[in-house]
Amino acid sequence: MTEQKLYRRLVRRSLHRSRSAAIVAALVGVILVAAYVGTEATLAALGRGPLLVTPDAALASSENPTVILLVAAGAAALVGIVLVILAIVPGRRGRHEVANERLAVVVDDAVLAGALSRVVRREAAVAESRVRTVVSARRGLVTVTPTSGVLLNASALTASAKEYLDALELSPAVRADVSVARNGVVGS
Amino acid sequence: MVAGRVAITERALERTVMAIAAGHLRVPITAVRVQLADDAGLLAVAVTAPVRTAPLRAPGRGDGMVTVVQGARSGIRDDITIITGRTVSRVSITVSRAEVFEEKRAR
Amino acid sequence: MTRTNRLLNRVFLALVGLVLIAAAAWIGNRAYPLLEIPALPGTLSADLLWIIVAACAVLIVLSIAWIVTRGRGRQQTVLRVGGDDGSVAIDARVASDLISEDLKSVNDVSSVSATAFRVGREPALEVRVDARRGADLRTVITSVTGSIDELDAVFEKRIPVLLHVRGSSSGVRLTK
Repeated sequence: MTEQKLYRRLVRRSLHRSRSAAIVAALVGVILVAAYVGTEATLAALGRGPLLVTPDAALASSENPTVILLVAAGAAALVGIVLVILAIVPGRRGRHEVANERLAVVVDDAVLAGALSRVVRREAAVAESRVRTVVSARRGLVTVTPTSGVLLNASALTASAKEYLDALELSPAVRADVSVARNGVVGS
Repeated sequence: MVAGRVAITERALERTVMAIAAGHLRVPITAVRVQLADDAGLLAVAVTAPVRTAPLRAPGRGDGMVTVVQGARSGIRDDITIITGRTVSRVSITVSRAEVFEEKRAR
Repeated sequence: MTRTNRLLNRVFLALVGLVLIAAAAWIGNRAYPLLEIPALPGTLSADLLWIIVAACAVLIVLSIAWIVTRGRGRQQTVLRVGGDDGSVAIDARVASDLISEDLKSVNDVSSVSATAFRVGREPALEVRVDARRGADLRTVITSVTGSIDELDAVFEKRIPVLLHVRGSSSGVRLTK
C-alpha cells in the first residue's frame, strides 16, 4: 500500500465511525432470528411439533391479534429505519484532520475549540470565561462577552481566528465565526 | 581435570542467559525476561528487556536502536555459546521499554 | 477497525434495514390488508424446510465468523527485523517512552501514549497526545512532529504515524 493511501486510511478510520458496533448488534439479531427459524424448521421437517409457539398459533390464541401485529410491524420498522439512517449518516467522530508533511494528524474538536478560544481571548483581551467556542464539522463559532464600555471589533477577531485556522489547513475546512454578544459584563 | 559431569538446570541456564543479556544491553538483570526453548535440538532464546538510550534530540547519537540491539544480540549469542557450551539456533530480542538517561554534560 | 471495509458495512446495514422495513410492511399488511401480498404458506414441503434450516445455519456461522474477526488490528510491535537466526522487535511502548521524554518540557502536552497496529501489511504507530486546555495546537503538533523526525533516525525507518491530539479529560493528570 502506498504511503499516501495508507495515511488516507488512517485518517478516515479516525474521523468516521466504521459502524462495526451497529453491525455486531444487527448480526446478533440475525443469529437469534436464524436460530429460531432454523429450530422451528428442523422440528417441522422432522414432523415434531414446534418448540416455541408458531406465529399463527400465537396470534390465534391472543385476544387482539391486530395489536400484536401492529406492534411487531412498528418495532421492525423502527429498527429498520434506524439501521438505514446509520448506514447513510456519515458518523463524524468530532475530530478534524490537520495537514502535516510527515504524520497523519487528527485533532479533537474540543482541543480545536480551546485553541480558537485562546486566540480570540488574547486578541480581545478578555478573561477566559468570556469566550465560548463550539466547533462543528465546518464552523468554529466563537462567542465573546465583552466588558461594558470596551468595544470589540467582531470582524477583526474573526479575521484573526480565520488566520489561525487557515494556518492549520484543516480538513474538512472550518470557517471561523466570531460574534460579540450584545450584552457585556461590567467588571473586567 | 576432574572427572564428572556438570548438569545445568533449566533455571540456572535461564539465569545465566539473563545475566549475559543484561550485560550486553546494559540494563539491570531484574529488568530482563528470558524464554528458552528447544528448536529441533538447538537452543532458541527469546529475550524481552528495556534498552538504555539517549534522549531523542541528543547530539552525536550514533547508530540507530536496531543496529545497537543487533550488535548486542550477536554478542549475546556468542557469549551464550562460550559460557554455556550450548549451540544456539536463534536469539530474538524484544525491546519493551526505553530507559532514557540524561546526558551528563562534561564541564 | 483497520480490517473492516467501511462501505460494505454501511451497505450491509442499509440492506438489513430495508429488509426489516419490508418485513414491517408485510406484517402491517396482514393486520390491515392494503395490498394483495401472499401470507406465509401453512405447511411447507420437507425439502424446502431443510433448505431453510441450511440457510439459517449458514447465516449463523457467517455472523459468528464476522463477529469473531473483529480484531482491532492492535499489536505490540512497531518495528521488527527478523531472519533465520533470530530477530529484533521494538514495542510501541519504546516510542511513547522516547516521545514522552522528548516532550517533557512542552507544557501544552500533558501526556503521551502510543500503540502499534497493522494497516495493510505494515505496522503503523498511533500516538495519542493529551493537550492542556487552551493549548496552542501549532506548538503541540510541531513538537510531536519534531519528536517523530528524531524517532525516524532512531528506528532507522520511517514508520507511518497517526497523531491524535485529545483534550485532557476533566481533572488534572499528573502523568508527567
